[in-house]
Amino acid sequence: MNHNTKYYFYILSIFGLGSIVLQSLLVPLIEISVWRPDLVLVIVLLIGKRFGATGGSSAGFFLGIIQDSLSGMPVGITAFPKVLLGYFSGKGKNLRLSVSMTYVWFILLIFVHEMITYAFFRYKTDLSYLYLLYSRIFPNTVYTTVMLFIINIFSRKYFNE
Amino acid sequence: MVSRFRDAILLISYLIISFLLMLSSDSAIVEGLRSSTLFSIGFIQEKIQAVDAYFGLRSQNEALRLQNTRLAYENFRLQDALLENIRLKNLLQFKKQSAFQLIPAKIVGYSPQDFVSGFILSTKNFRHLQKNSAVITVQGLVGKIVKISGAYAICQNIFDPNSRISVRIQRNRELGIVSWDGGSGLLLNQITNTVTVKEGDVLLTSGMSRIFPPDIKVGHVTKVQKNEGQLFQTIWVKPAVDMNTIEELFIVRMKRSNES
Repeated sequence: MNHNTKYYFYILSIFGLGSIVLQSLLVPLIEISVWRPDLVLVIVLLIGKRFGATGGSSAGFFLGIIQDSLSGMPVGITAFPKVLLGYFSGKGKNLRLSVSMTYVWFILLIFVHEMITYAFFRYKTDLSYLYLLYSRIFPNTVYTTVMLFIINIFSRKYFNE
Repeated sequence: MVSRFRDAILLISYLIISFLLMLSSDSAIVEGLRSSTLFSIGFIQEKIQAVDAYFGLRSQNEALRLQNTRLAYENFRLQDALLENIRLKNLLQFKKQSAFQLIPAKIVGYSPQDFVSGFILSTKNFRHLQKNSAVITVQGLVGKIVKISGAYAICQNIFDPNSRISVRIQRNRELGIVSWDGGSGLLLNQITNTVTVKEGDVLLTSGMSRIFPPDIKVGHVTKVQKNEGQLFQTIWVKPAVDMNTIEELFIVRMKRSNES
């Protein structure tokens, strides 16, 4: 196991599991109306950016599965979009984007993640997708983006090469 | 060749596994995965939560809440019994109610997703826990237990998109189904336009399902909209329980007929 792999598991266990605990304990306290940021999603994005597509998709899968296991929803419902998100976050590394364009790329990915998640979620409710789009998807994207900025400021040294 | 497409192969594998897991939610593998994750994360979260449990205040508070919940439940039933009494005054026999036991539990965490609101519960009396048991507080109904692992359980609350609760309007005894409205409220469904529903009407569990005992307060009606050309009216309900402030709650265990 080389140094980079060891560092990957270190980051995944500390930041990944930490984000799940915080998502479970802290996020309900900072909820605005019904809008919540997804801290796990933020960590998957940052792991993808630091370790590439393989690391990002693997982190998305494992953290998504744990996240799903702690709710009454089917296991895999958030792992699926998080795998995609981690993969494309890692692929963004190959594009050699500037800092500002990296953020734009991440915001787009967060929005796509929310759209896929709520597309699955819609089958469990009688609510229309349009209603979910403006009542949950847009606000959650904004809130998660804000948390991305904040977390990135404080954890930059761990996720930069 | 394979190493060149390693990223894409891994991506597709993960997507397929995720999709298969979604389709096989009740399989033994998924149940085992849920149990082990719930136990591990529940344990960690309980330890973190334990920081604020000090000087025995929690146990004293728990006992008082237990007593309070019993009294509140009695109150719900008495309110309902008054109306029932008027309607059934000529009858001598009353329907036998199911006995139940309240198991105290505390919230050690929330479902870590942005679109599902459930609780991770911890209890000392985990041996008595049963799947699909109702969860209540002094204010009324919270939800039901969907997964148990050791001393930890996942409570699916009434805001979960899967949640459907059979209720009865206290005033006129009409039956309906309560579900989440997509925000921080509930909808009362299956009430036809011919039925008169008023703002402030109290909704109680009907007892028609095997999960929720009868006469637990679910909420009250806040707005009624009759829909012309449609069979059912749209009724908005405010939940009896404020999900943001509860910390401890009670799992309702139905006693078997041979139990004392």
